[in-house]
Amino acid sequence: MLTMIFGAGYVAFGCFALGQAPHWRAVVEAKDCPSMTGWLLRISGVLFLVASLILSLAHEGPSYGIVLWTTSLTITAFCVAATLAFRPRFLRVLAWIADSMDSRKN
Amino acid sequence: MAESAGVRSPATDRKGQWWVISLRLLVVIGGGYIASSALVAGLARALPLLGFARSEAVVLASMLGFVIYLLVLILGLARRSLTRFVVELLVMTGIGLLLTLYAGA
Amino acid sequence: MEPGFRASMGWAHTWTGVVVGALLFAIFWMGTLSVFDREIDRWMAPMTRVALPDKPLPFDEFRSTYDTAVALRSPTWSLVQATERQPFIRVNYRDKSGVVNRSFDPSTAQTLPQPGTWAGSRFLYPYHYGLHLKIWNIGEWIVGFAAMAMLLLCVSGVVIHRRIFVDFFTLRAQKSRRLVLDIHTVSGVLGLPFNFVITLSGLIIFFAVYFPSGWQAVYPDKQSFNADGASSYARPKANKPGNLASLDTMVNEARKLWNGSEPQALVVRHPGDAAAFVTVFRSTEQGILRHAASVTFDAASGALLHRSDDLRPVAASQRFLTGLHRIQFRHWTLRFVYFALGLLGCVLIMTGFLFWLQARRKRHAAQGLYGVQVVQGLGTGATTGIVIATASFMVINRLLPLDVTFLGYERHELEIWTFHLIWIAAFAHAWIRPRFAWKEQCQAIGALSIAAVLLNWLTTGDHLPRSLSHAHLWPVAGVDIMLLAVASGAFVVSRWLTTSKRHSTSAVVSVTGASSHA
Repeated sequence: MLTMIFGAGYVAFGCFALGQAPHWRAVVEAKDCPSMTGWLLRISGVLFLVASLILSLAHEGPSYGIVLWTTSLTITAFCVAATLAFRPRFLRVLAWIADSMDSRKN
Repeated sequence: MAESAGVRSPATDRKGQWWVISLRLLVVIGGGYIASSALVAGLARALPLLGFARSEAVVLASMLGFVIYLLVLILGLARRSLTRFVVELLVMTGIGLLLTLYAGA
Repeated sequence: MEPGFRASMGWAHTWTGVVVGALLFAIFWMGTLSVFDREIDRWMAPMTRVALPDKPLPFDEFRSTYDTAVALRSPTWSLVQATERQPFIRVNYRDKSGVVNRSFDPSTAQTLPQPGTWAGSRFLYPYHYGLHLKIWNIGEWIVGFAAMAMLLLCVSGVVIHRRIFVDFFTLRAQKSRRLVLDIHTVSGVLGLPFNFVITLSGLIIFFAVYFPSGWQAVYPDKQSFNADGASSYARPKANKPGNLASLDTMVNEARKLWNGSEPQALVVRHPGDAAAFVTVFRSTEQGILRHAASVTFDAASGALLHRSDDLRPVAASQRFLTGLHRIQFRHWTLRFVYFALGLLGCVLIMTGFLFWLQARRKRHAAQGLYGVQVVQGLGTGATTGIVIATASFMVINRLLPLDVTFLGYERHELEIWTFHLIWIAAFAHAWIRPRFAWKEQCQAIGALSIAAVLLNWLTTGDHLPRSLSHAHLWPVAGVDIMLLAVASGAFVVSRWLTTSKRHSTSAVVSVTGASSHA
């Protein structure tokens, strides 16, 4: 369950990061992010953060839940920043999913 | 850089005027604390008028005191004119003292 | 936002950071270690590495110590049950010379030898909020002002960070010069909720100390404020002798009143007196806020005298924030999370120093200014220096024999002396050898940490394979693993500092509040 709470946070920040052009370019390597995909990524980011919060509250109760979620934000965001700095290609899967969902809409 | 934008900040007054900076720091930190404490005392006496229990008012006023002090520090460091800040401090302290002396039982 | 405001916040951020950064690192470092203070206690006091029994010993088992306290006319007698993180029973009372601490094995009730160390919970943890300076509480006041400075640093940091969302995830690892600044800004922005709330909650714990004007404006003295706000019970001595009824009966009744929550401790006030009363305290392990914390009984008859009520809303929030900060509750994930975020805060402060030095090194050397040298010495001593001092504190703990005294100082004082002397030496080293200070101190940290792990093995036999295979030795394993992690981190950083030096002697980086983050 903890893996899911932190995992959802990680995915959320991954989405937010990919929504930013320099990071998208670093991950996908020399291709600009279509605006629709960017929008999709940001929405997904919010959804994953909400999911992480709900899971945290449900599993840990109100007081532990909110504290765990808030602190998980720092940790998962930092992990995403570290991923982007040292192993940007790990996030390729995320970018690919977002891109393919986008092309299905078009 | 700050100087070329024509903006004055304490940094530009730095050369040879350490006493100006020290004075400002003393006023901001020390005077700020006094003003914040006065407001805490005033709030502690005034909040029961809003329906808070006495002990609750004390705790709330004291907790707010830290936020108040932080805002006073920021104000003091951002104000260009030290005189104006001192006036503001005196007003805050005055309000605090008035509330302490006359508000509530 | 007016350029004037941002510039003044930039000035404030830089100067507050330089002046208070050293102190803040000490507070953050000690605070981070305090998250695992009791685990460090296990490591530094091997006689306390005992396993919890299946059933806790009855409280009445220790009545002989109560009788001793009565004979000594101690004003209080307290007993703390064994818990997961502190697996022995503690009894306290006072004699003429001060507090008497006694520890007992939780399974056999045998007296445990004196640990001879203050370790985590009596040295590192109080250092965090008092700096070991007790005269006039000056340490607490210094920490208080440092905490306000931290809040200012948080706010000013946000104000001067021009591209806070654009650079949210940016760590330019390829350009080592920029990496220091990026680590600082990223750890600052991402750590903002934790750093701000931890700092503010830390201040809020001591609201009555830092803003005495609050309660003084409303109450004639502190006791009446406490009585009004905290629903506590007190009654004076009767100055007649009295007995003590069964403690376990009282504890069981408290447990029933709490619907099964475990009692953790009890305190008897006026031991031996007819008006003595027993306050039973609930465990702090469950929940950030402890509801209905205590139940009080008449000592002679066991009659229920008082139940502490639930706190009123504002008082409850203050206690919640206190609980949030002090992390006494049982939640291992959060405990590790706090530790990680505390370390991130230490990284924040350290990279702040490194960036300030990096940005000014060439200019100061060219202009013959000595600022960089002073700050470098201060920054190195304050960061790597205190880590070296902590590692030495743990190493000397393993080297000193029990019951040793020197020049009239007891063993625990000798350890504390070692800590401070080594810390001073680290400052001196940083001033004498500025170019290699960081690197050599990182290496020293690595060497001392490994020495500590080896010494633990040699002096206690609880090496990692053994400590990992026994649940009651996991704290020891944890500290050993952390020491090894610190050692590897220190060696990695010292190598990184060596290689990046070749890059850092090139162009000057211009820095003022307005333009540093372009």
